[in-house]
Amino acid sequence: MVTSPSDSERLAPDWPTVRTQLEQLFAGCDDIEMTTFRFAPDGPEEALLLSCPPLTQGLDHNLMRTAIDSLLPQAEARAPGERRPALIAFFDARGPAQRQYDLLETLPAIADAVLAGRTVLLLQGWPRAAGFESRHIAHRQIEEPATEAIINGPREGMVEDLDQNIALLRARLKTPRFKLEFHTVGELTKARTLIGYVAGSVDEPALAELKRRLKRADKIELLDTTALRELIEDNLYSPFPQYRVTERPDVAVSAVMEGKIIVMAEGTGTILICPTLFTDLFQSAEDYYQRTVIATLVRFLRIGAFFIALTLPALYIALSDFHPELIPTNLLLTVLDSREGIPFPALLEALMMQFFFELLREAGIRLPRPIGAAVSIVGALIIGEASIRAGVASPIMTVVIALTGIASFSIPQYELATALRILVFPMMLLAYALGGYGLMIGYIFMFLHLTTLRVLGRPYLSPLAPLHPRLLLDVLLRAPLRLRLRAARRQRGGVRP
Amino acid sequence: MKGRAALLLILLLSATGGLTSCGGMELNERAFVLGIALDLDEHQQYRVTTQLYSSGQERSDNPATGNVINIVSHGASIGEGVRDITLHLGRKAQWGHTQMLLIGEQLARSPRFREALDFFYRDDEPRLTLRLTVVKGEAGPYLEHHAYIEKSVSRQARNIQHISKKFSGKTTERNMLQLALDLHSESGIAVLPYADDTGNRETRIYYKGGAIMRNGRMVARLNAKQMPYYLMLKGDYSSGFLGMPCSDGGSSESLEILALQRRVKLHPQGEELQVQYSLQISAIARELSCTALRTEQDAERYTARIDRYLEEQLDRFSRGFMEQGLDVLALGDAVHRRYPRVWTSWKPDWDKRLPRIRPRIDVQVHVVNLGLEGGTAVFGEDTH
Repeated sequence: MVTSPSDSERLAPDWPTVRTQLEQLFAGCDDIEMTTFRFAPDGPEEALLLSCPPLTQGLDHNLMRTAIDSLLPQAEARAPGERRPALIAFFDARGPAQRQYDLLETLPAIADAVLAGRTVLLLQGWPRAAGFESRHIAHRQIEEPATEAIINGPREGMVEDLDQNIALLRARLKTPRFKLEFHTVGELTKARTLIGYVAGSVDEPALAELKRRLKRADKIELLDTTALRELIEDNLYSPFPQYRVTERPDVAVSAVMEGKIIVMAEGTGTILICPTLFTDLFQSAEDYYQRTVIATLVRFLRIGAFFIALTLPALYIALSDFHPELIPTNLLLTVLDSREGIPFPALLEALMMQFFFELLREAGIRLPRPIGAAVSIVGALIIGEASIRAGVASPIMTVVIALTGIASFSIPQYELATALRILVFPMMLLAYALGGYGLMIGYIFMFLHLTTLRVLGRPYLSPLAPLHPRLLLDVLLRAPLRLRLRAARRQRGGVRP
Repeated sequence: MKGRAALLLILLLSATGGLTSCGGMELNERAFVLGIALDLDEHQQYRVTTQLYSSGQERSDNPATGNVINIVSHGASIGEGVRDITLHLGRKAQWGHTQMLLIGEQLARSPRFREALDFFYRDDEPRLTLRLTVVKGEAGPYLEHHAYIEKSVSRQARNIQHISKKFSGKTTERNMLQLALDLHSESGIAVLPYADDTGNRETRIYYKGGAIMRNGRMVARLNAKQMPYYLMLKGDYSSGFLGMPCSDGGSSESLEILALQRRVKLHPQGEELQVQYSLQISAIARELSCTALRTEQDAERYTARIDRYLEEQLDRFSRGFMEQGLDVLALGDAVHRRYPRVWTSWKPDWDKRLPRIRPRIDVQVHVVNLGLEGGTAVFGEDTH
């Protein structure tokens, strides 16, 4: 990396000052190693090797050896006084052929290089330094992402190494149309981030808008891609997610092929997919690895799960408090039997049980796995069984809350499930105040909000509203490939497998 | 815009806190009515027996009780009687789940029956799908028994009505809406299910035929034997068993009717109405005590005998009521529908015209299974 240096940042011409400058720069950084060499036992000239061993661990390639092996024939042939100029000439001309290196001219560049895992070689009397690529950090192996398990299909998941992640994507998209644009953010983390898209498929206005927004990201100290989501989201206070998260390369690739933009960052395997529309949240990678009828039915199931997770407790409250005549008589009698003697109104009972359930869920996520199992036992026994026996909650309410919970688990996007966890509470209050009418008001407000929501300039509810019937083939249904191919031929576009 | 929507939402939610469930009521603040029995007491006032569900937990020691309580109230009007239920219970009565309305025969035959039903037609809670039954004697005591299987005797009565209409044809099925429609039809006749007690000194509901209603009161009865013929001619018969006496007069055979198709043709000829019923019945021979089926001719003779027997019975049944001037088969409606102009001139003296109508009835029974396909007739083979 040859930068255009300002005078103050240049390496000092005299060797002792260079050494002092470097020692000051890395004072207190005990993980930085500085090794001094002498060219020859008789020579006064010194060379300095700078590196950060934790970043180069396990590297079995001896860089100095490489350099010196290439150097020896030249050095030995010369008289002692000529050796140094020969060496400098050698490095200036990028001598050691086996290993690529950068020429560094300033102190900050040297610091950056060392901290990025390079090994930096300085020679006395040479106003530059050579930075050898030697970064080698142990990373997690590629494994199946725990949060996006599937039955059929590729099992690779993203890791924390950005280059490895890029490799996973590039290996699947062998076209120069797949663009990856790097950008470094953060003053301390200096994390490499990138946006990826397929030129020609991508929605250009959305891409321009995203780039404009990510310009503001420079000051963000990034540990995970999700730190960028607030820049991507149009409405921060909406409960509905306007981006999607994946750790699966196949999902990311299929998204960019559909014209989406992915955002990745160094140090995390989380990929943000944007703009994500409402209907995208009901899709799972596996839909495309299953038979079309099954996949379509499963999508319907998820849509059903959405409404259950959003309204079931509220519906129960509305029916029992306002419209008991709508409950089939035999069911009503059973409900009556179970409700009799419960000291709380239906709303309080529902709020309480839902609250307990949320508590359990939260506790279960954070705890280490062996203790997590204990939580679910406590939850099932104490909250479920014992609260019914104690007469605090009715069995039917437990069924309602459990069904709501299961429905929210069956929504493939965790972010949407979280949104529903929040929305279920106002729905319950509305149902308690106004019954079925309240539920309707709740739905009207929700749909009003959804229809006004836009993501990177696109309506959140499209292709439902505004309606694009052809796109619906792959939204509500998972139409057979043949059908979609025909539709694609008409549009002259590609099609997802 | 967004701000305003949010503001509205906040207002609405805060209003939610303010309205402590204004229209809503917890389930255990209500009492659900399962059955109602209406009678006239000795002062010619209404006696309303209301059967309510009482949730079962504290009564779980005796599950056979069916978890119901009956409350008897009196009043010059039904509303007056009904209002008193709250005084007994401390819960609001909810009428939406009422399974059965039992009407004592005395009330059904009195002109006050119309007023009594008016309450149920005008109130918003009882449904128009509420089933009705006219019972012999007083209706109240019928609710005092425990149900056999169901949670309440009201529910049981409703189920018996439905199932026996469907599988035996011994009674009919009528709800409030159908009753209103029937009474307002041109012929103005409705047939309600009629129940008797089982006879074992127990007032348990046992459906036996129907009650013929006219001008909002009961005027005659259809007995359990007439009921299947009524349903057949109305085209309302679904399935059931039919007994057929043997020629010796002692024993009897039975036939299971699986399906029945009815067609009516009618056209006015001068001042007379020509009516032609044709019935196509598929049936299974169930018991043969005086018939031997060995050859095809035997089978033909057997079928012809059934045809003849049914034709006779149906003819006798239809004439019987027509001679009384009761248009049980709603022929008046059919005339009105097809020949509205004729009907306007006939309507005033329809009662007098009715006895002159001689419907022609043609029955064709198709015995789909003589009972031999399923195996060997062990006893019936060589009887004759």
